[in-house]
Amino acid sequence: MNRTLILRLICEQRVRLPLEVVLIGLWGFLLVAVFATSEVFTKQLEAQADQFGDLLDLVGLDPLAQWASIGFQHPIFLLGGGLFAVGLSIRAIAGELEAGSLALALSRPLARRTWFLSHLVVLIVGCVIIGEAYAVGCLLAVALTDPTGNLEAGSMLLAGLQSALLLLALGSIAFVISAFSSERGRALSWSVGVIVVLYAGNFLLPLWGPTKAAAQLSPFAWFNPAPLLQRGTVAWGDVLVLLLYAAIPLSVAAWQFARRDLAGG
Amino acid sequence: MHDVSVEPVISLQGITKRFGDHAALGGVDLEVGPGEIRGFLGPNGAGKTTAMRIIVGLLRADEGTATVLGGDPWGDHAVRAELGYLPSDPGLYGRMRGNELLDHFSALSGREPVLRAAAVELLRFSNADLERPVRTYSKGMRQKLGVLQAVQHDPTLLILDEPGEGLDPLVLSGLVELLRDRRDAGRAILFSSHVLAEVSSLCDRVTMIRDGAIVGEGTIAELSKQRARTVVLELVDPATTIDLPGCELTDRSGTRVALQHHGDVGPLLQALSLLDLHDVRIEEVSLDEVFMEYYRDHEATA
Repeated sequence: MNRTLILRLICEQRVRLPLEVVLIGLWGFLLVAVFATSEVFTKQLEAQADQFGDLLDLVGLDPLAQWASIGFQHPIFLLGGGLFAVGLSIRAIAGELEAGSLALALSRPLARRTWFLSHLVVLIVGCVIIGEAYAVGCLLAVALTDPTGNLEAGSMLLAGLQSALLLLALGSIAFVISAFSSERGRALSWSVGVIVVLYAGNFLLPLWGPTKAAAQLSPFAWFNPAPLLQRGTVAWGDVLVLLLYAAIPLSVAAWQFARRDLAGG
Repeated sequence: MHDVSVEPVISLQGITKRFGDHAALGGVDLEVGPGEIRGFLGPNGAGKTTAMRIIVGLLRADEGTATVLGGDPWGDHAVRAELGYLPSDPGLYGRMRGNELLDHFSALSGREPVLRAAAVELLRFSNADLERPVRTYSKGMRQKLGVLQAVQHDPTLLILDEPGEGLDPLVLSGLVELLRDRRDAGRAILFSSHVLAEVSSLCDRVTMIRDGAIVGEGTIAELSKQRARTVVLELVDPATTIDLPGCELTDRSGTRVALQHHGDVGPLLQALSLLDLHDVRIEEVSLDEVFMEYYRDHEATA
């Protein structure tokens, strides 16, 4: 890792990341605040949970925990976190290569491995901050609005870490595409396309028997914070799969980046 | 001037590089020694930038050996501590201020920017300019900043891909002064340029590359000697028979005769002294003409 490089990356994120953190935190806060002020939502959720219980795996959970869990899996959270994770990963290689700044940086005594690891550190830290921002937003709303139900702070923070793993997995998909690409736009299009397909697949594939098992290929299938929020137990199997989902593409990206020519876009 | 007894700073031997079906470099040999300014010339797409990227370690040669500052630029990133590089289109972080950007690259180099103040003055930068975000810079100012980041830490080897691009004549003269000063301090400089006046005034030696192969190398005088001079005669008698050593008739109208001459001028002058002439003009070959002739050779071959 390189301190100068990490400081530059943090400096680049000094507006965007805090803004995303505030918006995600606000999202968590509003979700719980709305829940606390509307009994109707609770009833609706219970009805939906009964109806789509198999799909959402939410049956029998505390309504507040269900609500907070849905917020973690909601496109608003995923879009906010994904913007950071995918954006940073795309810029790390394809973006800087196309802009011409990668050539300048790597003409210094800076190993490609160092470049890669420095970006990875910022990616991991950013994902954790975003995941925890939602958790903190929810907990703040619980403290201020005192809703019906139970939301343990420890479980919520652990779920925030679990969501960071999902965001890291999404970032790793973008990282590997970035490592094979020389054009930022193309890498971004491919990354968004793959992630959208994986997201949609997680919901659509289980609807038809023969494709049900294929849904397990999506990282979204391995992220369900509801049991953690309800019972406080970590689904280590899911965590391991998400870790692998992040680690394998990142390893491929690191291998490809170390051996590829940097010839520009 | 490059002394062959001194260890070269750049040594490329039989370097080949392909991009898919396209052979960008086919067996390039190049040596640049300390205290030498080497001009690297060739038409667009000739392979200059590819060779430079191999020297910097951004590309890996398919075949051949590249040794830069005693190490392998691809495998040994530590050699790049002694290197300064300006790409043809440098990507400068637009949100940073000029000074921040220079500090950033200096820190990445791990060396103090000992030459920054002098280079800032020679390139006519002001402190106010360096306090502005890079995104507000004009093309010329970006280029100056690109040169600054490459030279500020006084590297042993400077690789400059078209450093004069977009610079006004005053700044260009400052750049020439800066590079000469570095050469005199024993630094090696390899640079490409399309401004041939700049090349001829600055370079100790020139390497011409075409279609990924070196087609000429030497001092400007040596290269010029290999190329044709234009000789224009004004005859007293238009019927005079012209048969001059090393000359080829290119145009004849009335008493005016134009010829192309290759080789030593001694025998030519001797033969001319025997002719009855009103006037004779032997035009020295400029680098422009040398370059254009190499280029035309390429067009003809193609």
